[in-house]
Amino acid sequence: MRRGFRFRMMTAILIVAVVGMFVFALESYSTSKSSIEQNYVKSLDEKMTLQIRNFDDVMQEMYQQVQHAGSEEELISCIGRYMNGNRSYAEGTEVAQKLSDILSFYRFGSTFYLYLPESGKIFSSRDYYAVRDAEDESISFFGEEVRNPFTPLCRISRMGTSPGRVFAYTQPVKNEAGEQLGVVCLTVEERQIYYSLLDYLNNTAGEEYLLLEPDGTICSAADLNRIGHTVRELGTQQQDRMNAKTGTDGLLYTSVEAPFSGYRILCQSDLKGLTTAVREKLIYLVLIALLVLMGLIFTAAILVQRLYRPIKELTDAIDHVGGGDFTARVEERSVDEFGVMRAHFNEMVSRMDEMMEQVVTERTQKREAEINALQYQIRPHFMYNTLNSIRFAATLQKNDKLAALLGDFIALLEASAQRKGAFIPLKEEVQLVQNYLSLQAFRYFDCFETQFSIAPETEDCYVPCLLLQPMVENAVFHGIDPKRNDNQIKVRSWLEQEKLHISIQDNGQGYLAEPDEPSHGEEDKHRFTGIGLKNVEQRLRLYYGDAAGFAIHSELKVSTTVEFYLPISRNEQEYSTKKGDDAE
Amino acid sequence: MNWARRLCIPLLLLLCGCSSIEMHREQPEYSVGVVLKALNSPYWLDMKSGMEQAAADYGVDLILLYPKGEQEAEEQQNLISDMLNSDIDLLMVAPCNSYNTNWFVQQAEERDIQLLTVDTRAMDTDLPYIGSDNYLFGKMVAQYLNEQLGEDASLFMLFGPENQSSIIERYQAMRDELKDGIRIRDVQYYELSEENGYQAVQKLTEPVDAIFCQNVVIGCGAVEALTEKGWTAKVVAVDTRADAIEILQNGTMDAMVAQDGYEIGYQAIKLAIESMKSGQTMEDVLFGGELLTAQDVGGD
Repeated sequence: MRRGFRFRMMTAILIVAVVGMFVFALESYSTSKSSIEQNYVKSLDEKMTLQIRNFDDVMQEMYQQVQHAGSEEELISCIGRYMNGNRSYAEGTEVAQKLSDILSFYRFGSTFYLYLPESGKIFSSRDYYAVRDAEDESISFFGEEVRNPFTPLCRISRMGTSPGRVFAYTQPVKNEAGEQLGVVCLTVEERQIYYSLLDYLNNTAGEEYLLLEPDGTICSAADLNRIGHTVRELGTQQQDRMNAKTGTDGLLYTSVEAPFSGYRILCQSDLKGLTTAVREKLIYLVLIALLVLMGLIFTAAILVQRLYRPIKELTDAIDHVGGGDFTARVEERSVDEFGVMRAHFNEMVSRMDEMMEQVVTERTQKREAEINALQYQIRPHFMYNTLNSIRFAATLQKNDKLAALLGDFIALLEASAQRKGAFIPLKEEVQLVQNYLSLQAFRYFDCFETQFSIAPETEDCYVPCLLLQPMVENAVFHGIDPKRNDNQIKVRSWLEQEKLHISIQDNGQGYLAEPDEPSHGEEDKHRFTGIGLKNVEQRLRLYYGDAAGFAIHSELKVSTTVEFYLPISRNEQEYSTKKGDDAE
Repeated sequence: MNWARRLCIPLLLLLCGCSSIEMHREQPEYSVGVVLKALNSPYWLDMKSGMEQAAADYGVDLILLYPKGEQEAEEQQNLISDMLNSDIDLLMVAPCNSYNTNWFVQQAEERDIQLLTVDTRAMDTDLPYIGSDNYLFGKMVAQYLNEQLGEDASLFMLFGPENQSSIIERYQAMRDELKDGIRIRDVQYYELSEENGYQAVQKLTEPVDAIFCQNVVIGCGAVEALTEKGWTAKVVAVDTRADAIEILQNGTMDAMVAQDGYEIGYQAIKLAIESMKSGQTMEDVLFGGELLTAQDVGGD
């Protein structure tokens, strides 16, 4: 149980520390992670915005260029000459040359094409295939309508030396009368655009950049096989100018739209590497924290041990006291709460110790009293035997009076010596008193009279043996004046308020000495502090405790009454101490 | 164990580096289209720069197109037409032909696109105008020449395309303000190029006392021809401020009316956005100019 308490306390501290630590570590990790990711997206946004703007600039320049070409008077007149002439190859090359002349945008493999439907020819600003027959597949996008005039077409061109993907703007060429002569088209090569705008971006590990048409079709990528496909993860991203979202495949898809052309640049980034450093730091932190935690556990164990020590000392001491060792004490060291507990404990044990000692002392005293009584019995026994011999001699010498006296004396001695038990019925006790009084009558020449008024219901009440005799002896010694012959001793017993009351009254001079009669005072003191009375008082207290009482009423020169009361007992063993003694 | 699962799963997800990011930037509120007359002089470049800056400051998309030259009205028509077919909310035009704006005003109305003119106003329709006070420019030049020239002086004027309001207004102001002693010898309308300026002056048979040029580009050609011919004449032009100062400092020309292309461009976009936001109809906004002489800028 004690271990359990300590264990629970330690566990609680541990859990709080571990949880706190983890929460802190996770919080800091997630904060840094999200900040890193946000910064990443922000830098990606900036980079891509710049690049898509470059793309837009190229497209706008192409658009402007094709617009210029569409209304270029020299070109229109050149076309007019060709159409009105014999349309020979030589005349055709003039048109092609004119296209080359008006081309002032020389980047990304830019080429002007002019398609004249009436002649069925396509003219090119390039040196190769300057004039060629228009085939269906090569003229496909000349008349294509676009939703937004600023959005370039992205198609496979078959007008060059080899088919290749191009970005193209077209513009009708009209004569002054407003009749359409043909369509002029400016193309740039997708590969050139890719290597110029996207390739260096793709050198970053974990990132792949793609260029998308407004409908989401991939139109430029490092991997040619991806061109023409769509990016499934793009979803509703296209509604925003910039959108960054983690796809179901765990990759981050960031795309930025070009305001002019409506194309999008898309970056697929693998973020695993991005937060590796932070994650490593988190693991490092957790390890450090675990080490610190172990240190903390160790410290906590020591502290708990220290805190527990006073409790343990107390419980040990309580164990000792519980085992009966009342000498057990705890050392009083500190003045804290434990100090108070220790002090109170020691005090409590001391008091218990005192009480136990008192009990033991009382018991010893009782035993001593018994032993004294035993010893008391031995001497009379010896005398009793001697006296019996004397009485026998007196009988032989026909001195019956002496023999009777000796008989009474012997009976008295017998009672004193008998080891029948400490309690005898009142009847027997009264008999003993009568024996005693007949002896004293002999001694005092019958100068006193005794009256017994023993209530019959009191006769079988048990009283300690030789309880009355010392009182009567007292009355005889101090209450009888041999010079008078009206001395009286009254012995009474009655039941009152569930108690047995016994009184011994004499009509002697009383004992309460007047202040001007010191001699009487001396005598009375002697009289009432006599062994007999003291013995009775002590015995009453030992046998009955507070249940018995003792009082002396004295009227000067009239009478002295000794009265005592004790519990009614009709069982010899009820207040006997033998039982307890035997048990021990 | 439910709480443990709730705690552990995000923990594991965090530790294995999985995360879900969602950030976005919406499309700008407005998209503004601008079709200028050309982009062949510092003035237009300044204006473009001011417009781009304003667009960036106010977070709007700006699509700025221009024909090959100020006379390319037909090409400009194509550009305006394409603009009106694209996703713009407002179109700002510096018309090459101030008398042919009706067609796109109608188209813009159909497509619910706001219109306004910049630099050059529309003469056949009532479109809001943001740009220089060209009549004031003409007046400033006339006053300068009135001071500089004596009686019986002759003036040659080299302008851009004649159907543009800016030229018409300047010409009108000159005619109104020039003193009687100055005779307008000739007014010629050209595409604004140095070559054209040079050729025009070369063709002159008699010396003139002053030449008023539409801008620095054509003016420089004129000065070149004057130097070749050994003639001296007061040459005055209108152009953007930075160029005007440079021209005056190196002594090529005598006086310049400086207009702030950047400011016009910036304010045009700013006012257009404010008008779209408030829904209030735009009013004309005229920008003044400053006549600078070589003395003003510490030149020769």
